[in-house]
Amino acid sequence: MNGFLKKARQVVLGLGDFATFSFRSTALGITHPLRLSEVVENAYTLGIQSLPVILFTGFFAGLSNVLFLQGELEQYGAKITLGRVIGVTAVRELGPLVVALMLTGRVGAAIAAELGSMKIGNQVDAITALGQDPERKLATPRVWALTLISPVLTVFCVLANLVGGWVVATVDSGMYWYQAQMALYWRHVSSGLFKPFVFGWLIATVACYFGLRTENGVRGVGNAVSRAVVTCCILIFVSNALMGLIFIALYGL
Amino acid sequence: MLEFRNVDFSYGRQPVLKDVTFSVAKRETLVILGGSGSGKSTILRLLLGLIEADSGNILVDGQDITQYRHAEMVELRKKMGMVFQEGALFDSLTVGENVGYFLLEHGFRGRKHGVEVEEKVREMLKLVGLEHTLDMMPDELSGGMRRRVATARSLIYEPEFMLYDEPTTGLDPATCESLCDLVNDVKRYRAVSSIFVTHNLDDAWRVADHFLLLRQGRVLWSGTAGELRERPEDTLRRFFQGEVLEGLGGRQAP
Ligand SMILES: Nc1ncnc2c1ncn2[C@@H]1O[C@H](COP(=O)(O)OP(=O)(O)OP(=O)(O)O)[C@@H](O)[C@H]1O
Ligand SMILES: [Mg+2]
Repeated sequence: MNGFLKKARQVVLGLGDFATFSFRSTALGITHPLRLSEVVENAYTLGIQSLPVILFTGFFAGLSNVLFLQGELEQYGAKITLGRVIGVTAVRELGPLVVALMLTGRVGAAIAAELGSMKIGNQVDAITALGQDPERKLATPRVWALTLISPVLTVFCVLANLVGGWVVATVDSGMYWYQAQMALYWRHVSSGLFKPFVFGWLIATVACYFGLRTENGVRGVGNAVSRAVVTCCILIFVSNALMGLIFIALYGL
Repeated sequence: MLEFRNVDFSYGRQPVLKDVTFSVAKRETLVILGGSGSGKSTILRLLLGLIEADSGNILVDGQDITQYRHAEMVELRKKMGMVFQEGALFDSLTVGENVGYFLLEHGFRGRKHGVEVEEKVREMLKLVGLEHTLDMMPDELSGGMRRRVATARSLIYEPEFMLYDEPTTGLDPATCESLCDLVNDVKRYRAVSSIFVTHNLDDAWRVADHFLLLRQGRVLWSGTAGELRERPEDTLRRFFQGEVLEGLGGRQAP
C-alpha cells in the first residue's frame, strides 16, 4: 500500500513537472522568438522526411479499411456511399491517427534518444554553461516545428488513405471520388485539421521531456525512448477520444 | 576570485560534499586532487549553477551566487569557461561550429560576421594545435582531441574564470605539456582564475599555485604548491592510496 502511494505520488509530481515543461517550452518560442531557420530545419528533418513512410502506411490503412467496409455496406444496400464513408473516416480518424503513430515511432523516439544522449554526454549542461537555456535551444524549435508540420502531413496521409481505398474499391471510380468529396464538410475537416496540431505538440513535448530528463547513462536513454513512445501512444488515443467528444458536442453527429 | 565557504551538497540522501572551503585568487590556479567519486566535478557544477548547494556560500568576486536569480546566473556563466570531463562537444555540429558556438549564438550570426568568426575559430584551434580538424565532426576525434576542442570552445569568449575537468586525461605527454602551458598562459595574460581537476600529478605540479586534496567529499588538506612541496615526497602517493595522513600540518581538515 505504501509502495502504491509512493508510486501515485511520483506520477502526480511527474505530471506537474511535465505540464510545466510543456507549456514553458512552447511559450519560450514567443518570449524568445524562434528564428525561421530553426523551425524550417526541424520541420524538414522531423516532418517532411517522414512523408514517405506516412504515405506508405496511409495507403495500406485506407486499402484494408475499404476491403471490409464495402462488404458491410453492400449488405445494407449502401455500397454507393463507400467513397463518403471512407472519406469521413480518413479525414476524421484514420489520417490523423496514422500520422500521429508514425511520428511517434519515427520522430518521437528519435528526439528522445538524441536529447537523452546529449543529456548523459553533458552536452545539455554545456549549453547551459555557454549561457543558453537548453529547453529553449533544444525543445522549443522541435515543439513548434512538429506542431505546425503535422497538419500538413495529415492532408497527404488522407489522400493516401483515399487512394489506397480506391485501388480495391469495387464501385465506379467517378462515384467513389464524388462521394469522397462529401467528406469535406467543415465539421469533418475542422476536426481532421485540429487533431494533428494537438498530436504533433504532444509527441514533441513528451519526447523532449523524457529526453531531457534522462539519467543513468546509456540504459537511461533506452528507458527514455520507450517511456516517450508509450506515453505518446496513450496520450494520442486518450486525447483523440476527448477531441472526438468535443467536436461532436460542437457540431453534432 | 572564486570562493567556497562551508559548502554542503548531497544527491538525495547521499552526501557528496561536506563543509568544503577554499578560495582561488585572480591569476591563480587551484588544482583539485581526489579519487574517483570524491566530488571534484560536483564542485565545478556548483560553480556553474548546474546544481544548488544545500548550505554554505559560493562567492564569485565577492558576490554570493547561491542567492542569484536565474537571469543573473545566465550572465555569470558567460564569464566562466568550462571544459567538461569528456569534452561534451555537440556532436551534430562540426568542430569549427563547436568552437564558434558561443559567438554564433550570442549575436555574431549572419554573413556580416562570418569571416570574423571563422578567423577567431581558426586562431583558437591553432592555440590547441588542432587547426586541421576545422571541418571534421566530433566523433572523428580521439578523446584527447575532443577535450582540446572543448578547451578552445571555452577560451574563445575570453572568460574570467576557467574550470577544467580532467582536460589532460588521455593525452600523450607532449600534448599534455602544451595544454598545461596554455593553461598557464591563459592565467597569466588574461588574468584568469582557474580550477584544474586532474589525476595526473605531473600536470598538477605544472599548473598549480594551490592544491586542494579531496577525499569522500571532505577537504583533507589545502595549501599552496610550495607548502605541499615541503611535505615528505610520498604524501600525494599515500593520499591517493587512501592512507590516513597524520601530521599533514598545513590547513588539514579535522
Ligand atoms: N547525477 C547524480 N546522481 C546521483 N549521484 C551522483 C550524480 N552525479 C554524481 N553523483 C555522486 O556524487 C559523487 C561525486 O561525484 P563527482 O562526479 O563529483 O566525482 P568526481 O570526483 O568528479 O569523480 P571522477 O574522478 O570519477 O570524475 C559520486 O559518489 C557520485 O556517485
Ligand atoms: Mg569528475
